[in-house]
Amino acid sequence: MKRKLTTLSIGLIGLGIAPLCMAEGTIAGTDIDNTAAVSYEVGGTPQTTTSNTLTLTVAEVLDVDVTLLSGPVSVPSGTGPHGLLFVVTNTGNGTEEFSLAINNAVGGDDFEPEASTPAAIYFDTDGSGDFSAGDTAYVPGDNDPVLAPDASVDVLLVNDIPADLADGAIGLSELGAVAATGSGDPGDLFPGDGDDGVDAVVGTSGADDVIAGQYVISDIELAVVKSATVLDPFGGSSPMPGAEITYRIVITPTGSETAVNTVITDPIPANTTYSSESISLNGGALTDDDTDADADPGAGNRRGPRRPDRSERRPDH
Amino acid sequence: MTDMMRREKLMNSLATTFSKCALLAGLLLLSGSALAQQGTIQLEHKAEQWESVTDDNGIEQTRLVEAAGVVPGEEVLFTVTYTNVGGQAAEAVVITNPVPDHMSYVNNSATGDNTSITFSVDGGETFGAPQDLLVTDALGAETQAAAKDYSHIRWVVDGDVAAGGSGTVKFTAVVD
Repeated sequence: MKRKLTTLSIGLIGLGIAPLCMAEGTIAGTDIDNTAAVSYEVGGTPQTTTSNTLTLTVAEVLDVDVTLLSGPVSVPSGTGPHGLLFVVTNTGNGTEEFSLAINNAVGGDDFEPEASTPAAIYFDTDGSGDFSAGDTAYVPGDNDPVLAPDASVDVLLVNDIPADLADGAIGLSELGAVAATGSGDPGDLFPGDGDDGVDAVVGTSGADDVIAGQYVISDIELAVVKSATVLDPFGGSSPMPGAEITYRIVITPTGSETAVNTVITDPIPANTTYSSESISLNGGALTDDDTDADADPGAGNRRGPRRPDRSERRPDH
Repeated sequence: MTDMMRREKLMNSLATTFSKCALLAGLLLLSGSALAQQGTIQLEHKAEQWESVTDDNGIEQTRLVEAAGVVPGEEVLFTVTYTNVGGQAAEAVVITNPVPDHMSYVNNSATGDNTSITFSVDGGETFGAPQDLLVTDALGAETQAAAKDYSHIRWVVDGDVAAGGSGTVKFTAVVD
């Protein structure tokens, strides 16, 4: 028996539930008994008496907390789905079911994120912290989370971002959680509706909490301008057989985002041949090796036919 | 003669029944509250909570109401009334009340006219004044006990409780 109990308590701790030391107080339905005793003597004879036993039953406190875990999420216009991570915690003292809702019509922002379809609320089932294939869609009335006191569940709001938004525009998306037993003003009573038929009382949260997550449009536009200069074998600039054409590609980013994994591809024009080892980046020479081991800030791949003759043209990267 | 014998038999039978009842009553007395009033001193225990009400003039006032359902963080006022219902004075009257499980004693809340109040931090084994009570903290060091450490409250009534005499003792505890 003792071993069983020990195993049980380890199991509960393993689930993140502290069985005795609840942050949110004595569990709903607990009976608190109180009996006083008196000892005395009458004519030298000791006697004792006990009082009636008072029993106070702990009511269920309905409380919930929704906390945003994601910082502002940088998103480009016209993309999605993008997740916002929240955690919903049962801050009451009973086991409670909560309904979840998304609201994108939040004031004070620049655009409305568009709730993804078919579902916009997911449980972060795989614990990745972001929307991913392993996450379970929330279906209202079907898989409403049932949380023990102090237990929590990670929830994702998943939205698509409308196109053509200005860089820096902010869009808010709210997650709300409401106790199924009831909500309202603190102190509102739901007689007999709590765990095991005890009274349920709305706690300080109103048994209803909502918080908004934030998307920030962080687009980047890469402007690409290509120019060419010709050096002919006679020192002029006429395109003729044997002339070298130097191509220059200037890329100018605008916006607040950083472009990563940027790949620049330029075909070698027909009737021209690449001049080996001619590419450079920001004035620094690059090699033609795929596994560029130079200390330069990029790598170039040679494309097209390579002939080691003097008539090679030089595209300048 | 026959009537006399019958009567005697009946009396014996009644006496036997009576003693069985007395024994039963005694057992019940030991077992709990139902017959608590059978002793020389009766104890009556009640639990109350403060309720905030706004009167007709819009002034908020608090009043005590009987406690039923409680929630964590709520305070409950316990009142024990002792009454000597016997014909003789009761001496050495000591009332002991455990701080209920899932509750913590509220500091300085125990009162009782003509009583000396002490507390226990060891499940009622020993009692002492607050400044004399020590507990062992998480690091193994002994420190002065706090109100939340108290397991029992004891009121020692000064002097005798005369026949027909009564008094009340009170304390407040908060639901954990």
